[in-house]
Amino acid sequence: MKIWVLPNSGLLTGVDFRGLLDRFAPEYSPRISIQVVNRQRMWSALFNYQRRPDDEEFPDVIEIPHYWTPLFAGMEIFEPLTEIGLKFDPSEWIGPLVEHCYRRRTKVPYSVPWLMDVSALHYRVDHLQEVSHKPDQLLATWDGFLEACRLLRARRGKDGDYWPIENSNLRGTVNIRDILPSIWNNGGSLFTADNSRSALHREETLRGIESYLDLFSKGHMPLLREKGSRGTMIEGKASMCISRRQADAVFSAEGSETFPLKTLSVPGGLFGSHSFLSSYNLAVMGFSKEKEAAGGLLTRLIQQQAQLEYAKTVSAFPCTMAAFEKFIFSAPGRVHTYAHIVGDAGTVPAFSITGTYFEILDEALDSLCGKIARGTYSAALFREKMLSVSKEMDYLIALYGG
Amino acid sequence: MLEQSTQILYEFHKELNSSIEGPRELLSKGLSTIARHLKLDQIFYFQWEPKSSVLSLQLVWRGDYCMELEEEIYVPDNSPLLSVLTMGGIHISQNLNYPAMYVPLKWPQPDSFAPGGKKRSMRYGVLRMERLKKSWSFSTREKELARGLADELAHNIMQSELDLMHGRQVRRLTALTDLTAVFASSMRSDDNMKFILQGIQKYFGFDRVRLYLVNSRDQKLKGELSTDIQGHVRSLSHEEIPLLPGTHRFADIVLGSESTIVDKYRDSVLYLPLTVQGKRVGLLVVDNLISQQPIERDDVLSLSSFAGQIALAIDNAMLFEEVQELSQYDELTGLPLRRFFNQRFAEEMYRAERFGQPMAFIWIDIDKFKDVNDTYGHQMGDKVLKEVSRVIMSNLRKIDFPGRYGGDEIQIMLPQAHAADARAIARRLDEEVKEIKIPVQFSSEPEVRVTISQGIATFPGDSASADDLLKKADEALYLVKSRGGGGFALYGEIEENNAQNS
Repeated sequence: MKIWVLPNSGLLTGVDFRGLLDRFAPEYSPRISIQVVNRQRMWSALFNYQRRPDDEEFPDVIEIPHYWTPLFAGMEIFEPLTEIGLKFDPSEWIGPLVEHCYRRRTKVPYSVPWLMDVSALHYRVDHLQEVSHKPDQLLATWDGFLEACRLLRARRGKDGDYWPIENSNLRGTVNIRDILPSIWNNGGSLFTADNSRSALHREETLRGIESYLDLFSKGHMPLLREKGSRGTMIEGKASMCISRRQADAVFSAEGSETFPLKTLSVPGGLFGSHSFLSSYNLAVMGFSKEKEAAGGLLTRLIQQQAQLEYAKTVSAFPCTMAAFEKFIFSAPGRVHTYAHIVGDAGTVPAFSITGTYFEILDEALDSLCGKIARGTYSAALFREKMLSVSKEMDYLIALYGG
Repeated sequence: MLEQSTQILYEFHKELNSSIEGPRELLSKGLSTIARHLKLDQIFYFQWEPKSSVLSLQLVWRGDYCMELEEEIYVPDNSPLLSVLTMGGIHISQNLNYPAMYVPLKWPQPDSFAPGGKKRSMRYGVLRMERLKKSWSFSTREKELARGLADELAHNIMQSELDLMHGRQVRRLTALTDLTAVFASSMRSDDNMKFILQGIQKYFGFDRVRLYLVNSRDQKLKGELSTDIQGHVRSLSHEEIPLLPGTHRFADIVLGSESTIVDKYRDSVLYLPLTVQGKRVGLLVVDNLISQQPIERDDVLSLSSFAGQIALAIDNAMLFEEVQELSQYDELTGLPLRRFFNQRFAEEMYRAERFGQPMAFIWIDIDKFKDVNDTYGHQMGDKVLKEVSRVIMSNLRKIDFPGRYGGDEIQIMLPQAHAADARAIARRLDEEVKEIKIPVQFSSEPEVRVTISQGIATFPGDSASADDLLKKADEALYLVKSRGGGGFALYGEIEENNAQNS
């Protein structure tokens, strides 16, 4: 059996996933080949499956971002989970993720949540205390967050390789998933309230995206650098990080000195302090010749203990209600921190075009990041790019529906 | 020492040439072998994207795994890494706190081989070789060996890309052959347009294919059909674009002289104007908007070279539809002909029987039609037929279906109609036909006026089968005729009267 997993724990993904199989699905593990495939290639490959199925060997089981399910289920690339004996009880999962398991306009599940991410701000208490007596208060708002960046640079910026914020994006760039909290905190959104149009052209949405990009253009966060900027907080070369992963595991790298760390909601705006809730779902490919075994494997992987342990290994969160509750009650202070963050978290609508929307936006953001790196970025250019994406999305919504 | 390096390179060459399928397997094998020879902890393969000046990570080997991770590095114009990338050499990373070196790869772009064998544009990549132990830096000999291994890998990448490209060309040719068969058979099908579009969508693998046809009479471009990757087939009949310059991008393309247009935005939309014997007959629009994948250059070329055949197939399909229409409808009255009527009647009767729905049938005969022909000539007879047919067609519901049975006899089936519904329609027809006045010259009568006789039967009230329904309607018509014509009769009422009289 072949399985494609996303790079859940970077360079350790293969080893970590094999460890999970050995522990929770030992009868399957010896005959499973693991392939770690990044999001961009997986997206093309799933379309290529219909175009050029002979170009490569496709997997039996695949891990996908949750918002891809409606599209690929609609293309009948995935197998309905009910057909392979997997029990799916929507009440067991964290609410906003459930709709993304179904084929559009049905209640037939085609994927099941496995790991969960939720955006939050993590900061080094020792660094922030150097610039503020009440860091939590300072970091509660976006303006305070920017002020903290300014103060930190003034104090620590003499070291040329210091950045107030570490870039948690593994590619070393930025994607729309990183920016969504900022959009929502500014009162913006990706779709209009009736979902009939893109809301990207609206001032509040543009402001949300622009404020995040400003972190790069104003030199608060590194961009497109060798190895991204992973580890710089550990090395003391950054003080804060907006990440969707849990901080305890991310910043406890082997051999590094431990440092006091605190987690807060993403700095808020006039419209509150929201987080983006996303999950990584497991699906079985429709053409798989091992559907029954694939169903058995999925059942093993989503059981509570497997979720808890693997989530901890890859610094993510478990996504059944029961496992998540177990996670937040398993360490002091977690209930206080995460109950609030997850309570204010939201996700994107479960439309067929949501995946395409993210692809188009990410490409636009890549292009803008390139311009920031080259020093040719401007606010006018940003707006022009976003309006063009907005028009394209309006066209796609008109064609394929919201 | 030199001999040892030569031996390693020879072994590497042999390993890469042994039954490897596709670029990914090649890279996977290549990276793990290089790591083994150079005692690396991890090795990264990046591709150079010259447009964005970014090195984009493709594959990483670490331990037992080759993984597709994500990392992008912006390389400014003045960076020493850029000169190493394009000019050769080795770049030692200054940012990482352990030994890491960048070794460039360079190979000719596979689709840039000119027919004469001349090489044109090059592709670039780089290997980042890492040892996590801080003190274990790379020796000069190791750097030389790394360059040799990288050159061999680059040569093999080019080879595997060429193989992949040839494989795709073979598949494309097979697809075109299959499509030719689809087009050839498209004339014989009721859903010919649908088959043509589905064929193009399937064989080229586009997200969506849309067809617009030129309507020369109205000077409009009319939407026909759309098929998409989710298997949906949709009618585009609601889309109408005036064929005037400047009104719509599609109109400009159809009115213009270009043979193929790829939308500059994202390269994911292709417009293909369809031309037959120098005349534009339509526009094919294909796109990859939902997947956001660019339309490949080879697909554009194949589709463009195939445009003539597509246009011809679509033109044939349109002609087929016209011919079919001609063979199904009476040219004089516009009414469906007997054969077409019978086909529809059988379908409707099947539905009525299967789902227990009612059906009524009216059999009409124009009274004294022979006299009209004999007195005023056949041209007047034709006019009468046309007028009566017009009245009939304008008084029916959407689901009713008339047909010319032959001569002056016309039949109407009324699905989901009871006797009372049929009676109401018959009364209306009777009244409106009586209003028909056709002026006559050179005659004592200033105009010709006609009446019709109508026999009505119902299912399941009067009859139990299709044949029985026709028979009972005919009997009802006979009764009206036997009374002197004009008016209508319901078979059920005749039966009732007969029963009462007896």
